[in-house]
Amino acid sequence: MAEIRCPMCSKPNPEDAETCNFCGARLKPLMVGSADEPSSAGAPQDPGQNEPVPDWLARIRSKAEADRAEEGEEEDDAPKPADEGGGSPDWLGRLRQAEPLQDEGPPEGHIPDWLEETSEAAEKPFEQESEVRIPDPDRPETGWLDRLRAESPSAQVPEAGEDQAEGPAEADLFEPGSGNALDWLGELEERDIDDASAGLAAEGVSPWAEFETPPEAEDDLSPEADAQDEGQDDWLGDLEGGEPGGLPDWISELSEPGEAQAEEIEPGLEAEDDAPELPDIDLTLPGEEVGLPGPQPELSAPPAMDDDTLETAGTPEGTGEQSGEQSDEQTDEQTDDQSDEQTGVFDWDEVEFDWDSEAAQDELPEIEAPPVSVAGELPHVPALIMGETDDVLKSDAQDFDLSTVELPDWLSEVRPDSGDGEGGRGDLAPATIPNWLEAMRPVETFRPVVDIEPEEEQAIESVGPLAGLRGVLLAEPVVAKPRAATASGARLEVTERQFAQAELLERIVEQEEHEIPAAVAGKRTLPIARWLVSAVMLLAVLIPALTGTPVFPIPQRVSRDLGPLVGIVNTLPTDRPVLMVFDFEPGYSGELDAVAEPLIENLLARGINIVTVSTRPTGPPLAVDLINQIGAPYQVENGRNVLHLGYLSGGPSAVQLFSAAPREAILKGFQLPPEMSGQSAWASPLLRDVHSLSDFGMVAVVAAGTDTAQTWAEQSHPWLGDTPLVMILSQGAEPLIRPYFESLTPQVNGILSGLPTALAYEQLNGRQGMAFSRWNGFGAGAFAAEWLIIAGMAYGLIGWIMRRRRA
Amino acid sequence: MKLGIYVVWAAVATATGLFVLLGYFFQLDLLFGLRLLLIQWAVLLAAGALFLGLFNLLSVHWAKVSLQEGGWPYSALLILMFLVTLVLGLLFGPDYQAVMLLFRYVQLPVEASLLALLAVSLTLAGFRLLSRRRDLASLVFLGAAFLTLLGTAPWPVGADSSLALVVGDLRAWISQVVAAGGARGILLGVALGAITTGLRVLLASDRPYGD
Repeated sequence: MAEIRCPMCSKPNPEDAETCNFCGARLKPLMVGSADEPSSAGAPQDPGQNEPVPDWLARIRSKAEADRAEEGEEEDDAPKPADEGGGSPDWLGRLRQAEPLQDEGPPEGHIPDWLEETSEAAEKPFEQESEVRIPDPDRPETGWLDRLRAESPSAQVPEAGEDQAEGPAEADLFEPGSGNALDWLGELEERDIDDASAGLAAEGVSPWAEFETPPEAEDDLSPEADAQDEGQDDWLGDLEGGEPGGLPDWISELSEPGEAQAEEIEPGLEAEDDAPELPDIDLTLPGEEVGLPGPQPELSAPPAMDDDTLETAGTPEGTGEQSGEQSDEQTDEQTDDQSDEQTGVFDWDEVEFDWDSEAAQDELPEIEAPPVSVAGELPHVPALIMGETDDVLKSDAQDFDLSTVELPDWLSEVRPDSGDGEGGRGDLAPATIPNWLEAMRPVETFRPVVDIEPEEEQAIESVGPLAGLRGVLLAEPVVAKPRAATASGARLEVTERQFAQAELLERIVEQEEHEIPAAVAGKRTLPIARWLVSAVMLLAVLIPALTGTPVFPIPQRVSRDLGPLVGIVNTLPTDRPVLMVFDFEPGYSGELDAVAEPLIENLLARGINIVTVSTRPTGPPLAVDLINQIGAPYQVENGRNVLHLGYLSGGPSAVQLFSAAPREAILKGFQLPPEMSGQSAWASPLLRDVHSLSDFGMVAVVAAGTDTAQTWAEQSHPWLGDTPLVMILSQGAEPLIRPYFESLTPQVNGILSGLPTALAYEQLNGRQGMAFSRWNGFGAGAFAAEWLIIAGMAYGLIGWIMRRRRA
Repeated sequence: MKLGIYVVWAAVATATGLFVLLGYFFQLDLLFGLRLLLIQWAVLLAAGALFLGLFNLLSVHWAKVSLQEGGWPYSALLILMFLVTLVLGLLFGPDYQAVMLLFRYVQLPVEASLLALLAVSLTLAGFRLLSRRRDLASLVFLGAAFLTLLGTAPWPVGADSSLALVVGDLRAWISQVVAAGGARGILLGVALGAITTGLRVLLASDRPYGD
């Protein structure tokens, strides 16, 4: 599917889209006379048939078309357009086209055929106008006047200076509603038609030539026009003398010398009076001359043909077409408005013609002397409608050679050079930027995104109101051209802190890019200190164990915690089993086995049955091994003196559950005797009377960590009742459990921790156990550790002092 | 706050906590029975969590073996022993003789050796401490450790001397006053934290079970 890219936003749009769906910009440019152009108010336009062109303009074009046909026959030396390719604007081409016709003025006293044909051809587009035209075969010389009469049979042109609304001068002649009726023509009708036209017609001279050709202008006329001087003077004299008082001022002014005439014309133009407009229009319509000041402003400034101009310019055509259909009342009502609007038909403000100059004064007569006005046709002026312009340029412009045409000076100056884009800048200073503005210009951030090509290489606009111009801004290529994003127009203000952070980031990035050299393998040194410490510690433990020396003396001082514990154990009832909780890891068995041994031995010695449980999977085997090891001398039998409940899963919750309902917490047992195979541990006679934690004679928790000890102390305390809770702890966990023991309402009734205390307990039991056997090794190892620490402290301090001295 | 299904979970958690908490204050059979039921469920869930932990351990090491990562032989050995122990325990029970042998002659010596290495490592750290870091904290740390060892361990000579008695008293003061004071502070902090956490859960302000 074809798409049209919007010249404004560069977004694709459907091919048939009129406007951009995104930005609303018009996709298809408006062209004069095109169907897309909105019709002007009050003057409906038909681009195909009734183009909004003033009748005078249409006649000019028609005349030019007719002339093309005849010039091929009558004029062998017809000039050819210098620029066929559209280098010149349309209006200029047509203007140049009209120049030879001026030079070829009709023969004296004779209306050439081509002029008659031209008149006929000019009447063709205006069908309505031809309908109302009343041809008068008896007066062929004054066909133009007859045609004007025919166009306005009942026209009553008011006198010059009077309000046009007072007289129905152009009521029938032009479209009342057009608002662009030609006042000058109406006045002409009023003053001349009744008096002078008849006489002029009898003389066979075109009234155009008489009243539009001042004496001064005759000098500048072409030879063909000079040949008509005699006749023209006659009818002009009749015209002036026939009705002196009724002669309009503008005609009188036209008859005056050029300087005075020019002075009168220009104010009239500026004041938009009726009188000054007449010569302008006259000059425009009948004059096929080059120096027509009337249409010149529009010709020299095609862009001035805006909508308003086109609207008003198209009105006369409509007026001519619809004059026969319009009523007089409508004409009367709109005459006033038309008078003002007529003034606006031509953009006089853009007229560059210097009316005060001598050149202009010299040319005015030439302007006002239409040599071929006998045909009564309006002169042809350059077309302003694009379609028609193209046709003319392609077909007819080649018949003219503008280079051979002698253009008046003012036209040479006025001639817009925008067509080729060169001459228009002759008087213009090169574009420069003031220094102060240049200083404000962001130099570093500005980068042109489009290279400006030489003017010769720039494309010529083909469509739109700028058609034919070179070097116009091409929006679409600039917008659609892929390019890199332009730099920001404003500098980024960076603070010092941000700048420092940016530098830091830059350094980090640079460091990331650098290859990190491979770490040089350091010189491998033997871990002498590690080996030395390990060797010392190993020897300190082995030597006493192997040799029995050195012998560390048994501590004479007993821990104050041992007394309450021993008292609890010694007062336990023998009929109630003691629950021992083995909640420690196997790694702590070397310490805790030795610490727990005297208590277990004391219990077994007293004949108290022991029931073990553990919240750790490794607890039951440790309990089995320890009880078996300790109980061997006491003939401890599994199921009879000792019972292992096994693993209590669930952590603290299991402890609480076991404390509240021991039988519901553990359903089986661990290493139950063969006779209890398949039965629950609670079926053992040892647990026959145990239904809660308080049914045990004592609860002893063997723990290496503080968490387990705290859990048992906290969770089991509500269900213990009078049952004492003792803790057999590692030396490191003792400080955290001591608060439970030393409080006013102790949750822990006894603590047994550390090898010295265990050794003391053994001494109380009167039996040397594991605590005693490990005492020397323990003492040697601790002694070695003490000296190693001292040695290390000394080594560090000495080295530090030596390094400070060296420094 | 946006209402959602979490309201149900919050209500369940709050009710459960309140029932268990009320069991500490009111000795009612209903509360006691309900409390035991809830605790049993908690124990079952804990057992399930332990099983999930074992499964996670197995999957992690299985991944190491599959990807041939570093140390994958150890992972393979762990998986092998895990499966052997699991199969033996499921088939013959945890007190099976073979399982006890594995524990007694593998796990127990290994863990005891690790703790023995800990003793050596701590001694080495004390030896190097002042060589690496010379500040007041290091000096205090080493001094406390040295005095504790000196006051705990037997003296080869002069165990009955006054110095030994002083050192013994000093060691008791360190462990039972300084260390116990710090321990109590820690316990109080833990207790306050537990109370706060419990209240937040009871009030559904903290929803560890998700929204």
